[in-house]
Amino acid sequence: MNELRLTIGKKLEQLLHVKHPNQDVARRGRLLNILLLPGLGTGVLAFGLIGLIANFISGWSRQDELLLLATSVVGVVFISGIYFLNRSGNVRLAAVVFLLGMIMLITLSDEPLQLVAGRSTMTYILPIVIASVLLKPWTSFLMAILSSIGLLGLALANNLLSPSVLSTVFVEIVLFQLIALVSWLSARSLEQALTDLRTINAELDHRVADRTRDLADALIRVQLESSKSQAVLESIADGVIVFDSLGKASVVNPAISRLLNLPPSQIVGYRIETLMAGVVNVSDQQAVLDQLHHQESAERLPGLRLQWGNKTLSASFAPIHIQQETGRGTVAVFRDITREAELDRMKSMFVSMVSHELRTPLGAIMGYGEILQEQVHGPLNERQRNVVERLITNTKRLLNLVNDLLDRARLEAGRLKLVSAPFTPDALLEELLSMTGQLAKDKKVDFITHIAPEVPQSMLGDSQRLLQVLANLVTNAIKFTDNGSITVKIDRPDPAHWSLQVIDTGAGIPLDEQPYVFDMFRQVDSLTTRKHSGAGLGLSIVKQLVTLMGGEVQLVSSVGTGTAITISLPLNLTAEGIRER
Amino acid sequence: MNDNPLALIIEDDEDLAAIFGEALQAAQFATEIISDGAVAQRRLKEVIPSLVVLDLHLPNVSGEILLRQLRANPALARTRVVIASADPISADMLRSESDLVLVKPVSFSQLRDLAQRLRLT
Repeated sequence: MNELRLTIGKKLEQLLHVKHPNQDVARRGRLLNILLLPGLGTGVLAFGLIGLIANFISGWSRQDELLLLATSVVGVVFISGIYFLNRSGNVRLAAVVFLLGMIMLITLSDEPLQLVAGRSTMTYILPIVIASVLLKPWTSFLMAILSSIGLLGLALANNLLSPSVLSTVFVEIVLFQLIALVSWLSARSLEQALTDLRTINAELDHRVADRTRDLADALIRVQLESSKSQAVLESIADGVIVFDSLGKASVVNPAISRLLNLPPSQIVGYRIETLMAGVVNVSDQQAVLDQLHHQESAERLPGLRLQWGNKTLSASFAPIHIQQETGRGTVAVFRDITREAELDRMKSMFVSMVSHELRTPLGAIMGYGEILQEQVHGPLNERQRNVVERLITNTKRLLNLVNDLLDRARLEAGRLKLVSAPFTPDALLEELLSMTGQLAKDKKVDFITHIAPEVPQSMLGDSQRLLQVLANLVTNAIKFTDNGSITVKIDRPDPAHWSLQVIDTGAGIPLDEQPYVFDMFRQVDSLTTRKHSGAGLGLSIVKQLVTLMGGEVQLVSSVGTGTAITISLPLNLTAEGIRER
Repeated sequence: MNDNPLALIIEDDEDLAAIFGEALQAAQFATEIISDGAVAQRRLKEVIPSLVVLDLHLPNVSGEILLRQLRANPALARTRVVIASADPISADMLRSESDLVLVKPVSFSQLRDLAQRLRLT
């Protein structure tokens, strides 16, 4: 039904349409067609059918019938002629012919006296009004004048010159002018509104065109920019995956394909969990996820090292804001460090192997030295004893250095394991004293130990490693203290922790050097000016061992006053220790 | 000399074995040095030493196996065992099965004094 209406509407529109380059002319032509169609209908109906029916009822004469038929035919031919003239593009001519025809029709359609006297004068209004919209607005005046002439001519031709008739004609003529004026004004304002509308439309079109051009330019710029980024992304050796806010890979570069041995199509759209499944061990997977979900904080996390299939990768993550997406994504950068990792492992192995091979003969030298020192094979004279002593002291130094290197290598390789067993703080200090007491005595510094009453009698821990930590700190303290004392305190600052403190009255460490005290191969004096022996490995091992034990190292020092190093450790009680509490 | 109790030194490093020997002799032990695990295994079936100094890394039969066998032998119930190892972790794990654990390098005087004490108790 709707479709039928649409088709009819379209057909009608085709019938009414007038083709003309000037929009105004085309509009007027269409308007003329609209006026012509009912005229045509009326011509056929009124003059043909209705006339015939009326003839049956009132019984017209044959002459009347013929006249009616002739008028109908002439009307239809006339209107059709105008229509085709109009359709062919001669809109103005068609309109003029139409209007003139109309005036003629009006002038001849009534008896002259009746027309002049005012019976159907008002029909003249039609061409006046229509002219203002079909032609230029001012043509309404032309029509009014033509109508006036027509009316006056009719009066003169029929000799109707009585004052009453003339005054009526005069009033009618004035009325025509007034109507022409109103038509002119309204048509003009209509035209004006139309012109304005057209101007606005044109301006709008212009603006749209401008915007479209701007957008196109911007698009080209963005494409250029993104192709630049794309080129950079594709040329870097590191593997890059951008995860969107939902955690799915949205952008990848060729390097990541090579790294993971997967085509891009098997990376894009997948979550990191899916990518890692089966090729990354569970703890590494967890570490990656922790970092991915830790993106809220502003601080940049250190890179991650993980085993991905047969490759060792370093991974770092950074949050990014992706346009047109809510939430934030993450960019993950992966680097193949398989070779570095292998070299690292080889280095650790080498150090560990060399250290072991060094320790064995050093142990033998020590042993033989001691045999001499103990005079097992006969007495030594004073100078021989002195030589043997120096031999042993130097061997000990070398042995300590090798031990430190070995520990360091084990710590780096993660192969140093703590052995937790019950120990007593008293025994720990006693052993420490036996190891370092002589050294303190030699330098004539006091060695003071103190255990706070809150400290349990027995605790769980790796006493050998704790002793190593303490011995390192105390040896170091003695080394840098020329007079005064070394104090070792064991305390329990809170129920969950216990602490070891080594306080000396030595040289102290300048503020700017303090952050580096626990670095490897570091002594406050530079290599060339140092007056104290030692490779500077001790404190770095202390720091690593304490970290391995889950503790923290704190340093307070001022030049000339001394240094205090505090180690805070989580307290692990033994069964007896728990009972004690 | 023959009255002195026997100490077996099971150690594959020649120098260390010699030093251990000196230390134990100084502690009034009669010493015998064995540098092979399998040889030590055989020897422990023939003699009843009062002290064994045992290295853990040995050719053929490891020190760990020797220790287990020694502890399982009722004839050797009174034998004291001192473990001398370079590896503190594996040495530590055997602490409960031995009388003493020494981490290398073992000092001559330390071993001598300890052995002396062990001989007297």
